[in-house]
Amino acid sequence: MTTAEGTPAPEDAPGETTASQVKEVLERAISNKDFARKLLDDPDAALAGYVLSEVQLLLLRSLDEDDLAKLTPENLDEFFAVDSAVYTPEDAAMVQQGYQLYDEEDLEDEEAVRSEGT
Amino acid sequence: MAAIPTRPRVLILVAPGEQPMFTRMNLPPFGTGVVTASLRAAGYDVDLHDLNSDLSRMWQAGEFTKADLHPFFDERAVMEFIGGAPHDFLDTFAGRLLAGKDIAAADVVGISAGGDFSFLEMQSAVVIGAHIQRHYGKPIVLGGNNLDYLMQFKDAFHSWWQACITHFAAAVTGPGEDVFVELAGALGGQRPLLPMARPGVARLAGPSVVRAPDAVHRILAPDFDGLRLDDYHNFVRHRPQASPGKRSADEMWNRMQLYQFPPYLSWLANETGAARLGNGVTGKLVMPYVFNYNCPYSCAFCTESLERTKLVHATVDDIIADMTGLSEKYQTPYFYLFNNYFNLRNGFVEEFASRVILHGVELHWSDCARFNSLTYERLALLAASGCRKLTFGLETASTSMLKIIDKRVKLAEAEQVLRWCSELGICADLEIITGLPHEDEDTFAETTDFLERNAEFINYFNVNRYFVAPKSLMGARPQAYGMRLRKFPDAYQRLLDANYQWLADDLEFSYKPQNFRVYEFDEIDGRSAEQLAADIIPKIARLNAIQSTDFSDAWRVLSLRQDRLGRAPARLSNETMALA
Repeated sequence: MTTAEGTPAPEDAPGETTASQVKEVLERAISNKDFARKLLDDPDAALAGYVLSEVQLLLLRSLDEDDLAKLTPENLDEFFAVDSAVYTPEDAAMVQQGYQLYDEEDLEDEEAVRSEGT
Repeated sequence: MAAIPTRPRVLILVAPGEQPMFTRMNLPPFGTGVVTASLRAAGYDVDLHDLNSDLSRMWQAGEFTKADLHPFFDERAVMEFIGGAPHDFLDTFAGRLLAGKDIAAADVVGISAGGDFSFLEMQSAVVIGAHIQRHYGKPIVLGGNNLDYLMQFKDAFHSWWQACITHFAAAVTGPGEDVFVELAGALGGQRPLLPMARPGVARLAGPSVVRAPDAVHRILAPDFDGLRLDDYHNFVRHRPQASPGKRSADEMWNRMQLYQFPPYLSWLANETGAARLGNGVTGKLVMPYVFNYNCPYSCAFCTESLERTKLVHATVDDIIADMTGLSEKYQTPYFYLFNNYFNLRNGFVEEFASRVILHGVELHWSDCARFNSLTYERLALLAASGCRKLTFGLETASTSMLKIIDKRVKLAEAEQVLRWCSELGICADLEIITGLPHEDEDTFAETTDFLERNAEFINYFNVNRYFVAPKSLMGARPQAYGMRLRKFPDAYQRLLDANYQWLADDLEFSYKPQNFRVYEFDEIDGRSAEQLAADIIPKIARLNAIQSTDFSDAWRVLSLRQDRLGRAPARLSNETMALA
């Protein structure tokens, strides 16, 4: 993790490290127009005090006016509620099916193939 | 290869897969580019088309839905179509994909069935071949890395092989750069056709599918001339007139988009960039390139472990000439190298890096690597030569499991290399395998402990679920590894069904079914396949929880920017390895 250096944390910026402060930055940009303006005009200053990785800093620095205009508390909650999942649709179904024991002799006939080769 | 007096015309087609229905293409087809280069060098007139471009346009125009593609996922329908039975949808769809291609002018048609382990690629390749044969009477040669996959599991895909061998001129596994030149000459009437004498050409011996041993690779720079190259653009930031600070920020962003992000995020960032084309964003190609093949190690799970294959490695002079040539021709400094691993030959790192640095060539590249032999000085040289990411096959951090799979990785050395990479600004990715036979809670915990301990130095790790590769030590001698193999009696259609379901349910791309899982196994004196399937889910969830939150944040921010909330990507999107 890299910490944005420089100025102390702003009054309403969170003071302690969390796993990700990206959502908090975006929430603040929705509720605080001055902060949103600062995020666009001088992102390094706006983000000082937040504990953000290089990737998070790059992402937040990349936001423009159109991006911020799209943000609402509702869609922010929606996007941050979604999480990755493990989904292997074929496994559950396939494993339930009957198996037949595998005949290893069928596995590989490379020896035979090699002897027939060029 | 001596030039031939006349110039037979070869039509080369890349069969379409599912990717264009999910995201932009971002990499021209490497194997096809190499075969094209070889054919052109031998004097053939090559007409090259990637039908993914055509599928993409049809998809963008709303000409079909994913669910419409059901006949491609029907084993019997496709096999009967190859055999001459009518099928309006398959025939018409193939005709639409081929619109505008000068098929009549071709003497021979080569079709790549792709290399992404995609059933749409494999099924569409044979449908397109049958369509061309039926309407134009041209000889068809099938190739592509997917044929290696189909050959590995040839008992499961016997009907596919039988139909192809019976109805097409040839189906070739392994390297095609020389075999295809020979076949094109023979099929074009230049030489007699003797399929038994050609490496990798499949044939029937009674009811069995057999092939002569594969050819040996040659190192060639791919030739993509003729493709619609704009279709493969990666939309990166490029503001040459901007301040040094802004240019530096652009470079950081591009590095993140092209190298630091895993593929699903790289694609998403590319979509975001495409929407801003012209506004400080430009389209650039990323060049695929390979300069070594085959591996001196024998990791027991790997398809290269069963038999020793001679290493193939280009000289540094040739590699630099190829890379600078591709960079100039296609106007890009960006490369994805797909070598077996970069530091395969002693002294190569120093030789390559110093040559790049001395020549002042601007290259940005990623590749696979092994931990052993990578010193700080060597890594510093690699960083200076444009190395942006190295992917290491760690597989497991259990010392006992490492011994069983004969990985020959020293964990202390691995940790040191990860730290150095981080220090030098090289992203270090890992390949992790879970679900190896007899991986218990303790051995699994050794891996999670390692990942947690080194989390700040690891960029991303691919979570791979172990599958049995028949042409591996573990697949050939399962009992020695504590496995009893089981197979599905109708694996081909079951896998087709799973792939169709994925499309019809409109799931995210990374939910693509695990097409390598043709066989299952019980542990000898251990868990059944059913228990192993149940045990793997929490293991994968545990591994996913260790992954950097950077990537989930990136997915959210990039999705927000596109105002597009899709299902979040499954992080289990890989298999244990690519087939050689």
